[in-house]
Amino acid sequence: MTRIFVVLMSLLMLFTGKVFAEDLATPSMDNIDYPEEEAPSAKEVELGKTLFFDPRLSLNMKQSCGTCHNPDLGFGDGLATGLGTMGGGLGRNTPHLYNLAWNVTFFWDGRADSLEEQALGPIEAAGEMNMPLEKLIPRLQTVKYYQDMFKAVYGDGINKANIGKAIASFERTLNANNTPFDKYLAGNKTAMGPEAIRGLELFKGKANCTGCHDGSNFTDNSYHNIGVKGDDKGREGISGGKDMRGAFKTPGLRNVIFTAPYMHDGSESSLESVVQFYNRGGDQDKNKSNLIKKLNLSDQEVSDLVAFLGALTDHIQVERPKIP
Amino acid sequence: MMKTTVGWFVGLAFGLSGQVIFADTITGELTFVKKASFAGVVYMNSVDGVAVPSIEGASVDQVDKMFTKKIVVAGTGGSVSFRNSDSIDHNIFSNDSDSGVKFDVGLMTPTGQKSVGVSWGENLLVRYGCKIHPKMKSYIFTSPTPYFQMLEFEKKVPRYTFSLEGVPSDLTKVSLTIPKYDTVTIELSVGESKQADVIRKGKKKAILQVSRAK
Repeated sequence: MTRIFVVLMSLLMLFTGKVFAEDLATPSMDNIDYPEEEAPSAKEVELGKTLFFDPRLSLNMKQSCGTCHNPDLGFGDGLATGLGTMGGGLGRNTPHLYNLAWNVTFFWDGRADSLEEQALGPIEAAGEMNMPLEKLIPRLQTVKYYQDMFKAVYGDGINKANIGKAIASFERTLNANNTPFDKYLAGNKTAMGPEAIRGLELFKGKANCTGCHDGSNFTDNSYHNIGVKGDDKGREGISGGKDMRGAFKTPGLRNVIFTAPYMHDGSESSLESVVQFYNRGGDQDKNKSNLIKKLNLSDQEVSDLVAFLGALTDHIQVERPKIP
Repeated sequence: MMKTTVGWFVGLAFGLSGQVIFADTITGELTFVKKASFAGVVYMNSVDGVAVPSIEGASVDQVDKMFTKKIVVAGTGGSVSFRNSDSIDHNIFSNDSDSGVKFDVGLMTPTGQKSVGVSWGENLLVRYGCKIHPKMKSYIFTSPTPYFQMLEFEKKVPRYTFSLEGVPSDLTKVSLTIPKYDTVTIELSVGESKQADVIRKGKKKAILQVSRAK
């Protein structure tokens, strides 16, 4: 009986393209898997924030983490693809940092398994901040603020692991969970306008956005080839499976209105053009996920979806710290 | 308070000589100081010269992009079978740096079944997941004896009880293992009740209480 049910479910999925989707919800702070099982101290977050904005973390002291993950640009840089501190171009769009506290893999191809690991990656990468950690540590040790703070927070001072922990602790505070959509879910039926409410139904229904953008942070934390043109191997470069060729991690959509341009290569400049991309079923079919199909959305429905995406906005004000 | 399913029930145990050894019951309670962890196992340690039944029947399903168990117990030399009852593909694998265990069962289409041989040693907690859905995680624990209870925790539920029945009187050490925590081992005779702190990275995270009765 169970087998018959599963076969029927598989056939249903084959014909409808529908898969199980987690309910859209407000993210719960209780569901954050902190590495130390409890939230970091205010002091640790402050240290991480200072490091995040300190250009000492790049070899030529021209870039901080916050240069590319600019809070005024949705923790991105507004560019299609990023720029390194030495002026070279990067191959992918700078990912935003919203609600990474609930995330499980990092970078577009998921090559980091923790936020701590992710935080160190761009610092060391030659094409990005180009700062070997063996040079960064003595550079930070010349600053009394860092000596004192690392000692106070971690006990064992400045080292690679603690730099990653501190930056990750700050990044875990960048949480958007009080959007009009969250207020609507909580019972305030006027928190979203009629266009956004219609957009929500399309998001879950006809447009099948929840096939990938599900759960409280609008991501299945998985990888999909959605039919963006280009030869970037994406997840295949990490996992090795050809089924992952051209597949990239589903980005969360909270505060998505601030994070243009979109897609792993920044090829879509606006939310409307993103929805139109999906409406036409992507731009190339090779290795494309069977979840991506022509949607036949009307212009009004495209606008409604964009209105709903706009209702996922909870601006996070970040005061830049004084760099010691 | 949450009580989870008893993994095994063995009414009587047999020694190497084949004679019946009267069995004891271990009961206890685990109380987290703050948030509960993910999962754990309470189990009896083996003793040289005391034969115990092998562990069989370890299985896990995948439903709604989740493993149906947070932790499963297997015996070294045995196997764990996996099923995919989802309507999407999964690919179970492990590349666990803590235990050093690696395996990859390959792509599992809907209704697919695969199994992995447990070729690694006893007392290891092995994290595994799905390559396609990184949020999915679960653990395999290789218990040295079939006297164990799996514990699945919920963050907001601090207290858990357990009961191991039919424990041979020769097996006197009971342990608790939780991923990333120090393993706690308590030696326990009939009539005794003991308590120990459960530590993670030097910090007390929970209190374990155990008692033994005939």
